Order: sequence, then structure tokens, then C-alpha cells
Amino acid sequence: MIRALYTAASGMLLGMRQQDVVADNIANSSTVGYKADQSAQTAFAGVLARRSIPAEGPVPGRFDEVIGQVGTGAFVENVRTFLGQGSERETGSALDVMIRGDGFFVVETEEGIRYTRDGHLDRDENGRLISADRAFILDENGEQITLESDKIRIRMNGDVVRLVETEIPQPDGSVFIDVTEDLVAKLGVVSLQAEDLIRAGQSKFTVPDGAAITPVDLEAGDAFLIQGSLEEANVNIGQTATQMYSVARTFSSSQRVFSEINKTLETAVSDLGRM
Amino acid sequence: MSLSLDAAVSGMQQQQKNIEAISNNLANVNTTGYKRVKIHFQDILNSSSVFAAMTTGTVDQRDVAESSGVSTAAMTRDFVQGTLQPTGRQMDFAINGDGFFRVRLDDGSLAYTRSGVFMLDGDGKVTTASGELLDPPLALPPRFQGLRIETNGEVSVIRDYTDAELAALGPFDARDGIREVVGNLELARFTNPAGLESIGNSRYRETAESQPPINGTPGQDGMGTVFSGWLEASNVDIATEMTGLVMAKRGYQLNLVAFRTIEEMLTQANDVTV
Repeated sequence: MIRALYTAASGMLLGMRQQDVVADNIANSSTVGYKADQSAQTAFAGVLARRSIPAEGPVPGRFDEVIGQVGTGAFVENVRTFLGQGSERETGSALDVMIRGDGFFVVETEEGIRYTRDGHLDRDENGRLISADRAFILDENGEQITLESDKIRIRMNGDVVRLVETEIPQPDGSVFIDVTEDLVAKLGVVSLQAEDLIRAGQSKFTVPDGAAITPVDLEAGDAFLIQGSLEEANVNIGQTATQMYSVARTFSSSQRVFSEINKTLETAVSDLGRM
Repeated sequence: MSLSLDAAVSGMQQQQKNIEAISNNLANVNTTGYKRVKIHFQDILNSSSVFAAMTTGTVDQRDVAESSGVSTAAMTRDFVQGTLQPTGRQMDFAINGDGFFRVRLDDGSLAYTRSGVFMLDGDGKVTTASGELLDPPLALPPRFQGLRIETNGEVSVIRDYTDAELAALGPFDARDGIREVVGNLELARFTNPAGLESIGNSRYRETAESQPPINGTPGQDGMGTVFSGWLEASNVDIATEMTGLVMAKRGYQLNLVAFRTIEEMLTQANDVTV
């Protein structure tokens, strides 16, 4: 009886925990580069159910026979990050860049190296390339990138090139502006394992020591950068809303079961006890 | 559980901010030289235990999800060129390309604007619509017509004849007036205009982030050219803003539904003993 009470309670706790994850995804449905979290639930270890049967043989007695397993509830085992591609939103801004395919930008924060899919870049007072929350964007060698102007092109292979305009006076008096490209740096993009990712806030991730960090070869074509676009959150609104309702209903069911068991227990204590 | 309530509330708050930014953009769709504001969200982490876990190297994925909600990381101004619209008014100046008009505020400091609606003050000096003098000061003769701005910023007008000049004209000479150079326009541009601080009336002030202005002649060194008789419209695109507004509204609703659902669950949790 009491075991059933705990089982029902675990169902309620599970629902609350799942809803934490769902609500977080909903809140971040407009966050650039956000990767949805998914909770994985698992059952607590079951216990063996037994029944008592008369023992055969000359000596009278009883012994227990195993007749199956009884579940004892469920809990959220872990929360994983879903790394699916978010959709592309065109912004037209030279300092917006998105990764199409696998990979993360490498940024340097006060807490250390972090990884992000948020490619909304800016420049600080010294011209260094920073993220929206002022973390430094690093190149493939782990160095900060300094740009002298906003007139840049970010190629699909991660090259950051500065556009240099040279005015060439023509014989007829007009001025021809020649634009040459000056390679400044190559953005660092690394591939990480989904199970290593730890959310670090500000749309960033960190990884535990010893995690596999593989530089992505942007020349290979599996992953490439798109300048002038940002990656939307990969939260599927319809699916998330459905999940939210489904969790809420499951929670209600668990609560009803809990209440019923509670009532039964109450009857046992107050009515049976009175006899 | 309060984590998810926090998340839903933060979602509503940020979408509200988003709607405010969008409605401000929409309100300024007809403001000369207005530059739209973009909002940028990032997720937030509530749990300090996660950082503790990360530093000790023992990370439990279950701790990690103790992150909840969303915050605004940046609100940036988009300095993309607005379309140029003909007005036919001589004192309307539009910059095509990079650069700002430099104006002197009442307190003597400099501000920068792309709103090119200029007036004349009592001394014949060019001021903005809100009364700040253009820098360097530009004085125009009392009665003039045919104001022209060359691509290098040279401003010339056709002024009336003086009595002496009039007397010197022959009977069959044209009486079109005299074209006279009255001054030069200067523009200022910034390597990082997104860092400029808005001080209202479409004016901006330099900050450490915008870096000091680069002053120069229009049409040279990457500076835009100035046209008289044109104005730069705002760079607000109504279709984009309306799409953003619809998305923000739906986002708000979804967060509200999440809030109600969680609240309902909490009520049920409180009801178990009944």
C-alpha cells in the first residue's frame, strides 16, 4: 500500500521535472542558436512480487513463490541536448553568421573556453570580435580576432576577410573603387559530442575535461558558415506544446492515483483501526 | 517546479521586451533617418551548483538541466541604409552610404545624426529640426535658391545680385543670379556604429565601443555622398516587423499557457491530501 503511494508520488515528481525542461524550451523558443533539452525517463528498479503457497511434503508449512515484478515508479534519468539543426533566419547583417551542419563556435569568457551556436557577433571598443554578451570569438588557433571595420566577408569555409576599398582615379576624372580582400583570420569551429555538452548559460556550452573536441573541416563541405543569417532555436513549438499537455495529464493521473491510495489508507487507519 | 514557473515568466518578460522593441520600430517607420532596433536573446543558467560541479570535474547531467529561462543579451541598432526619398525641399539632406552629420548640442558637445531635415536659424546658420547647429557651421545668404551639394561636400547656392552687380549688368544679360560656394559639409563615420548611444531625436553620441569618429569629406575614404532635396527614410521594414510581432505574440501566448499548465499542476499537487 505504502509502496503504491511512493510510486504515484514518483509519477508526480517525474511530471514536474519533465515540465521544467519543457518550460525552459518554450521560454527559449526565440533564442538564437538554442538547442532544445530532452529529458529521458527511466523506471526505478522493480521489486519481485511473491505469493505464499503451501509447501508440499511431509512437513506442513508455506514458502514464497515469485510471480512477477512490480514497478516502483519512474524518474528523469538525464537531460540531453538535442543537436538538430535550427532553421535559418536571414538578417542581412555582416556580423551575423550561422553554422549549417555540425559544429560550435569557440568563445573565450571570463570563466574559460565555451562553445556556442549563437553567431550574433559584434565588435568591442578595441575592434575585437565578441558575442552578444561580450565573450571573445576565437579563431582556429584559439586567438582573439581583431577587425578594423565592419566591412567584412565571412566565407563558407570560415575565412574572415576584410574588404579593402582602393580608389583608382581614371583618366576621364571618375574614380574606380577597387575592392580587394584581406584575410584576417579563420573562425574556429569544433565538433562536440552531444553527451559531453553541459549548458553554461548565455547560449553557451562547456564540456568536461577529456571530452573529444574535434576541429571541423569547413573545406570538406559537410558543415559550412552562412554570413548574414542566424540559426533559430531548434524547438519544435507544436511538439513541445503537445509534450507539455501530455506531461500535465500524466501528472493529473498520478495525482488521482495518489489521492485514491491516500483515501484508502485513511479508511484503513480510521475505520479499520476503530474496529 | 518553481524553475519551470521562472522559465515561463522569463519567456513572457522577454517576449514583452521584444514586442516593445518591435512597436517602437513600427512607431518610427516614418521617422527620417531612424534605425531599427534588434533584440537578441540568450538562455540563462540558474544553478550555481552546476558551476561548482564543472570546476570539480564531476558533472552530473541531472544537475545541469537546472537552467531556466531566457534573458536579453543585447539590443542593437541596425545601421543599414534606409531608402532615399525625394522631397524637393532644398534644405533636406540625405546621406547615401556611410556617415553621419555632426551637430553641436546646446552643452557644446558633439552628436551625430542621419536625419537630414535642416532649418535656418536667425543668423542664417544651418541647424537641425531640433535646433542644434551643424558642425562645422554653415551659413547661407539671406535669400537664395538652387542649393547644390557636390559629391565632395561643397555647398553652393544661387544668391540675388547686389545693387552694384545689378547696375553693372547689360540690358540683355541673363539675370539668373550668381552661384556662390558657401561652405563645405563634413561627415563623420564610425568603425562600429552599433556601439553608438542613442540620445533621442535621431541623434547619437560616441561611446568607447563605437570608437572615435573618423571625420572626413563626403565621397572620400568610404564616406557616403550627400544629396539635397532628398531624405533618408527609416530602415524599418513593415513586413519583417509584423512577422516579428506575430512570432513574439505567439511566443508570449505559449509561455502563458506553460505558466497556467504548471500552475494547474502545482494546484493539483496541493490537493493530494483532500
